Amino acid sequence: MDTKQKLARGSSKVGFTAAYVAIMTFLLFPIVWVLMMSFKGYDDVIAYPPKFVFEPTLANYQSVLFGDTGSMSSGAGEFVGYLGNSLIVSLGAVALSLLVGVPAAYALMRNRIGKEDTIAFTFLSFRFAPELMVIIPLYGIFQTMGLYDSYLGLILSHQLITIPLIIWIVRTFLQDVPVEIEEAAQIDGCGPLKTLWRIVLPVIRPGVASAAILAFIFSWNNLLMGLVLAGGRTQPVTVGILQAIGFDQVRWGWMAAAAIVSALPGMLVALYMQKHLVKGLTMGVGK
Amino acid sequence: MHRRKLTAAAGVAVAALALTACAGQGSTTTPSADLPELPDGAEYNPRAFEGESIRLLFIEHPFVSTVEPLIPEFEAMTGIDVEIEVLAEQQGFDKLQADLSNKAGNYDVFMTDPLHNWQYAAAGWLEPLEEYIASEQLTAPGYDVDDFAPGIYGAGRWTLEPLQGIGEGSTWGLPINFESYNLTYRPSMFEAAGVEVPETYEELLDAVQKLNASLPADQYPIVTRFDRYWDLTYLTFGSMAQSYGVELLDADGNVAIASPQGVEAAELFLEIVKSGSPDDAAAFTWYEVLQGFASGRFAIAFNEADLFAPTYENPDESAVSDDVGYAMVPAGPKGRSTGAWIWQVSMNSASKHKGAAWTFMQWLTSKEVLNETHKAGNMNPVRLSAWEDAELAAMVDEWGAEPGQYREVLEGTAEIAGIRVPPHPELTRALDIWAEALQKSYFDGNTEANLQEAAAQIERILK
Amino acid sequence: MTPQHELEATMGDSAAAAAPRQGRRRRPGTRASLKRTYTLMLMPALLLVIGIMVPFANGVWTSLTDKKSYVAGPSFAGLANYIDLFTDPSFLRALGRTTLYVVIVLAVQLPLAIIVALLLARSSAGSWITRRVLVLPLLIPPIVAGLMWKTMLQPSAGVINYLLGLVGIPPQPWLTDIATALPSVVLIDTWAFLPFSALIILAGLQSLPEEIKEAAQVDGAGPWAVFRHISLPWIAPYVVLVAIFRVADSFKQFDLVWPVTRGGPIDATRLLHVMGYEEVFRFSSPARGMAVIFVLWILVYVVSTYLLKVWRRTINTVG
Repeated sequence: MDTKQKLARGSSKVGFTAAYVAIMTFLLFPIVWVLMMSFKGYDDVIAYPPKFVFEPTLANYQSVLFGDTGSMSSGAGEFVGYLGNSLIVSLGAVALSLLVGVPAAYALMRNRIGKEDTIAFTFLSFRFAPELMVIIPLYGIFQTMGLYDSYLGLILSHQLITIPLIIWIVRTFLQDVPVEIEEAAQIDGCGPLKTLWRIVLPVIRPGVASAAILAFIFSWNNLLMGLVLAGGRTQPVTVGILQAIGFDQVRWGWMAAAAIVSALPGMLVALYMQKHLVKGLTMGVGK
Repeated sequence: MHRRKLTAAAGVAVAALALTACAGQGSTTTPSADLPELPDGAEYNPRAFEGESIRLLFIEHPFVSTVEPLIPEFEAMTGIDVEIEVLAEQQGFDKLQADLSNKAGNYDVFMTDPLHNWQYAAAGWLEPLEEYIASEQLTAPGYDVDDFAPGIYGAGRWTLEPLQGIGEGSTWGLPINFESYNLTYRPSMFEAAGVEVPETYEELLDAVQKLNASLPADQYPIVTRFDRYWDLTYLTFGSMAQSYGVELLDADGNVAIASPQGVEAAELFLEIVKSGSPDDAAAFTWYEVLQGFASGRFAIAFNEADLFAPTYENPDESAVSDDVGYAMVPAGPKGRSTGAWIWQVSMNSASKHKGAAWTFMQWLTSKEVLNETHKAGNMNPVRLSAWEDAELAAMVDEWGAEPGQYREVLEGTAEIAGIRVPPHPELTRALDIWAEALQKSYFDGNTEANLQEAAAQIERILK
Repeated sequence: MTPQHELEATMGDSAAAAAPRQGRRRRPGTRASLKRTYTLMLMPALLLVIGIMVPFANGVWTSLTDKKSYVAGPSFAGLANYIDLFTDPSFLRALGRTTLYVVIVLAVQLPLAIIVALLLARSSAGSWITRRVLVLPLLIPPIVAGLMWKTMLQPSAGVINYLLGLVGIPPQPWLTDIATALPSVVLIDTWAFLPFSALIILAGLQSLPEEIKEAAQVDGAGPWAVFRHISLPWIAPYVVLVAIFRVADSFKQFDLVWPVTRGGPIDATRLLHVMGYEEVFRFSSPARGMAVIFVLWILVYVVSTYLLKVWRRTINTVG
């Protein structure tokens, strides 16, 4: 390599490194700040100039995980209960959406009846509707049907969030799958469901995994559904975090600790699914 | 045939009756209370509704944690099962709205306040309480409803007439605490700048300018909330305006915010904020005020909630806990005046457990229980007899620059505090418009023009 | 060669040989049963759609009445609310503002997402770490993210201006000035949702078979040419998909605005969804609120229909 090429390679390396650092700083700084906040006492949180060096305390986490008799009205273990609720609802919602949505996406892709786009678009249009539009009548309906404050009710209401994501992301991946693979399977005698299960799914695994992770995260982060349609038994974690906002105080430390604790399941789900995200079409196709 | 005719005739008669009933009354028909079947015996029996269960919706507030430990006592005494849901303010009211507007009756008792209750009562979502209070079978002896501070209790009564009738008519909510406004200051900073506690708003402006000269660059003389939200014009600036004789409506029922006094008060307010607060003051909400003062950045919290005192006085939560003083709000040309924010409990008119709900409410607002909560941190007391409790008096004695200062200021403030806004379901919108005009004036300086435009808008809404 | 043909060449003979080049042969009897199976696969999802229609229709109905929460019987008012809205300057401003917000979000986030995805698709230590860090902002609920950013962006007491001050940059007003409030919300939105966009595009990039790129490089194409003629068309459907989602979410942005600025200062961040919320929950005017929200819904629907056509076109280019 001559000097010019070396320089070019070196400077591009520096450039790339700088880019990675910039992105990571942008993404991580608020997270780190929130993390620090979760270990700060109240007076450190509101201190100005902002403190980067301080005496850490576990009081916030203690209060979140075990409850306390201080001014926070969460009893012992309540927040952990919220975590459990969110887990059940979000996992359930994603599972249901996968079950319902993946076949639907496939059917829309392969069944040439000429109206696929309209139907698919209708699914997408859920996402257009601000939840506000449906939430109040939905509350009334749920009360009448006995679905209020029930896991089933919440899972169903979360379909508004998860189905569009799953159907459309999977659909986008599906169009990258060559028809010939499926036709081979069909000639071998597989019906659509089998084709989907045996042949197509392994190929679009990264797509389904991405869709599932994203759907899980959006469902987990949702506030309005859980606020209005859940009661004491099924209250999700997003509503729980906001309990930090009292009438006369915002418990930032507690809120930060609660946010970190509630981000953990998402992190685990994302890490677990990461392995399915690696490598793409060629892997499945090469078989 | 015969029967059908009768039914038809009956139908017409009922319809006719209904029509005449509706004709002249509009939204002022008072719904009647739906008292439960009164228990046997002429005396109060706490166990009359044994076995029932009620659900409460509380807004996140120190009050809640003072009440929760007492609930088991209530359950043991009455045999009523109590379930509580606690939500942050915005979310709580949103959920309450969803429940009330669907008439689902999911919550039997909930925390609320006069401003929201004017909407709820007008919609028929609240159970009128006066018959419950008056009933000897449903209310424990010694309840002593006259013990409540008159202005504060009266804020829960309304005849349902638009723009008038507060303090009369049905009782829609019982008070559990209230907040009013004062001047909270840092005695050390005052001393260093040679400033006395200001008695009038002009003196306040003077004090701000003196403090400007003596404070370091990252500290400011004054802080107050200033977001374009009704609490500005209902509570904090509202207090100042009232001392200029300006309320939302004047004695003739016209919108008065752009009157000469209204403009004067607004301009002085803006001048104070501009001279003494940081540039981003126009976005301060109450928690920037609370945190800012507690962290030591400000010398004066201006017309701000006295409920912040527990935080200021707590060394774990404030950097200034040993250097806080309290004074009454400054006086305007018409004297001193403050608004008040009153938390109440109300009963859902769609509740299916009204007897049990009332048993809870009258227990909660009784002398003994309220005093327990006050001592645990539920401020400020709404009953006149509360301060007779030595423990309570001793608790707040330490607050302030001298012993007893907080209580003195509070008692003085209680005399001038009141809700001086006209009751109307559209009030929130009107107050928001006023607040927005103030904010706009902060940015563009056209105070009079903005206020007049706002006044015209409000006029259209309320009439 | 088109990517499609490339694929067939790499795939191996069995599948390629089995499929005839022109048309598809189907045995006539199975067409109906095939159709039935497909319809069955579609059924559950369709049921959910119908389920949602009911409350949605209720909302639309409310917008056609004059319902105020505090009046017992609302009466039909036809299009009165809509006419009222379109002659209300504050509504029209909110409309323009929301559209502007969506445009800025797209203009900022789409290119950024592509760049980030490209960076993450490389195999290097930097991309390995960043890929794992990428998902973190998504794990913070938007409302919490908004509140946290609000504290950080406080002009006089926040950590961002403090850090900027350390390197000599004067304090910025961020969320407290009329001119900078909306861009600041875009900033928060970008932090919260760039990972979402980048992840989808990254997944699309990773599904691009290496062989195609290698073949092009063997042919002498430089990195920019590879990107322009191979990667970009391949990920185009994913980019458009991201655009559709971001358009929908930005038009109805609420969680990042209301707790953070409440629509202020004055009305600098008063987006349509904020206005709708205020009407329903603060001013007890569900009819007006629902009308605002329905207009919002139509806007999103129209824009997305257009984007859907674009999506279709990008698919056809690929295969």
